[in-house]
Amino acid sequence: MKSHLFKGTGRITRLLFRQNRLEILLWVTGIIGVTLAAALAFPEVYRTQEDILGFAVTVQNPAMVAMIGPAYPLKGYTIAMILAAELLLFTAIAVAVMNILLVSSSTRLDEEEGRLEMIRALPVGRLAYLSASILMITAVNVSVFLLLGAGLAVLGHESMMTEGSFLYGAVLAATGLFFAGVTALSAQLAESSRGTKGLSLGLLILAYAVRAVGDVQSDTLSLLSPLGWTVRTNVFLENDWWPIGALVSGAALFALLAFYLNKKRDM
Amino acid sequence: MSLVEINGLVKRFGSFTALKNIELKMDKGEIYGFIGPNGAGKSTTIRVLLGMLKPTAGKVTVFGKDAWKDAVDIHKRIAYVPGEANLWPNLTGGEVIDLFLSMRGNGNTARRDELIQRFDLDPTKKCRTYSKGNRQKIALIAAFASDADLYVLDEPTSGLDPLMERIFQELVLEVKAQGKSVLLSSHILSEVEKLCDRVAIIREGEIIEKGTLDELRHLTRSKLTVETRDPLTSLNEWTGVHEVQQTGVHAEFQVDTEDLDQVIRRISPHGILKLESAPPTLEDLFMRHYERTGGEVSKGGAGR
Ligand SMILES: Nc1ncnc2c1ncn2[C@@H]1O[C@H](COP(=O)(O)OP(=O)(O)OP(=O)(O)O)[C@@H](O)[C@H]1O
Ligand SMILES: [Mg+2]
Repeated sequence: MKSHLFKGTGRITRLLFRQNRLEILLWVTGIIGVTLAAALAFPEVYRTQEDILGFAVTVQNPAMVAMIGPAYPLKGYTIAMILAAELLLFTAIAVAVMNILLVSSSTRLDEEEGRLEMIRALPVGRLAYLSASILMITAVNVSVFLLLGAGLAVLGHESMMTEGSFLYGAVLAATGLFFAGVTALSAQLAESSRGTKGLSLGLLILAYAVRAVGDVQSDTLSLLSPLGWTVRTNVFLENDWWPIGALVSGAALFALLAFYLNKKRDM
Repeated sequence: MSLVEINGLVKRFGSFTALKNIELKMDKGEIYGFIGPNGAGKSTTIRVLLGMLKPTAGKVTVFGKDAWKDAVDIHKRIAYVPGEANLWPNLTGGEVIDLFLSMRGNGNTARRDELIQRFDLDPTKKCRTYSKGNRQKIALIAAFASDADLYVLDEPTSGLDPLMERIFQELVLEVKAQGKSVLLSSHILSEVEKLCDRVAIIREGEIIEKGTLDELRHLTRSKLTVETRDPLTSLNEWTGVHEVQQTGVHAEFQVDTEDLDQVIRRISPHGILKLESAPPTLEDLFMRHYERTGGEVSKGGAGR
């Protein structure tokens, strides 16, 4: 009985990849391309230690902290840190948006437009479509993690050490997964695919706002926001991995809730 | 054991009751027609049957198994065509057909190619570019290329041109000849009349009539057109006569089937010059049920 719930997941996963291949390709190359381009360009832009320090000073003020997250200490500032300060949070948001769009279109939209109905009439488990959607998005995020990690470690500046590079990829992927989980859950709760997207994007904006206020005023507040975790890896410095664990656990929790609701409800 | 058995099925969506008390039995080898006005609950019944919706109350079994709990097993032997085949815009028609066949696991590729030819479909195009009729063909090909015991077709021909509609009818008769069963929901009454062994009429979530077409006709009226030497007098008051249109010796009216004999005897003495009788079409029957209030309909059914 139980294994029946997921029967057919593999084939549907392949189907979803085929359906979304162009979108996935554009998002992933876009995200990786921008990051690697920046990583390659920064050593040319910030040639001297003064240039680097100049940047480091400008991102210390509260307005910048609200925008991009807590600043690294001035002492020992590197090109890698410039990359993290300038790009990490905004790239994480782009990855989150990609996750929200891909998950909502491969769950609620496919249901709304009747594609799920044809599948549900096949010998396919009740949870197979949602599992396939989650498998697809997990694979996309893992590729972002591996490609970015390897890309930065291999092509990046010497300050982009291996661990930091992979942590950088991991935090983007983990933020993506978190919002994939949020969307999978919203898809069970919202009335429509527009509602699903609206709810998930709304939560993303809320997470950004809470983090912005929190980063300036109180760390505790920031820790209530998943994006607060995203900006707390101290990547390329201390390389803290706990935010990855927190984000992935959150994603798993939401996904389980989504499965539970999906199993209970009708179409 | 019936192939499909629906007992006391109730389905509510929130406070709205879409299905009130559906009773339906389908036997192996028969083509069962399911008709009723828009919003009557045909698709909802079919979705419950396919285990996509959970019954609020009642018992639904297919092949003797529970439609909700054993959906995966049941679906191995079912092929389904919805009225609106929505497909994956970035896949080709051929990819979708193959996907369905591989997921069911008992597809027949020779049969698939034959059907693609018969339906005159170009399977290499992206689904996004297909017209409604062509998308419908894909669902039909995927269904009829698989080796199912029960074909569940919910308004399968919407959007098909008359030529394709005929091919569809041939296919239904072919699977019937192989001993397979078909549940066909349709608004095309001539299609139902041509194909179905038995019919159920559903309205506002209730089955208001069911039986073979002959049985259903029995409940209705024949249309008579007569010309007599002497005009028929006070036709309106005759028992079993309805909807009289009379000009002199020419009269057109409907007769309750059970009063036919008695009415003809009464006409005879007036000297029949011309007598035409048209059997009630399913459409007459349908219209009667659609238009009348519940009270009169149940009167029609009380005779059984
Ligand atoms: N998921 C749902 N939530 C709420 N109401 C629903 C849902 N699905 C169907 N209904 C309602 O149930 C009723 C029966 O709908 P159904 O689709 O079964 O009708 P139908 O007989 O198939 O009509 P048509 O001939 O137009 O296809 C309608 O009033 C419809 O609005
Ligand atoms: Mg319908």
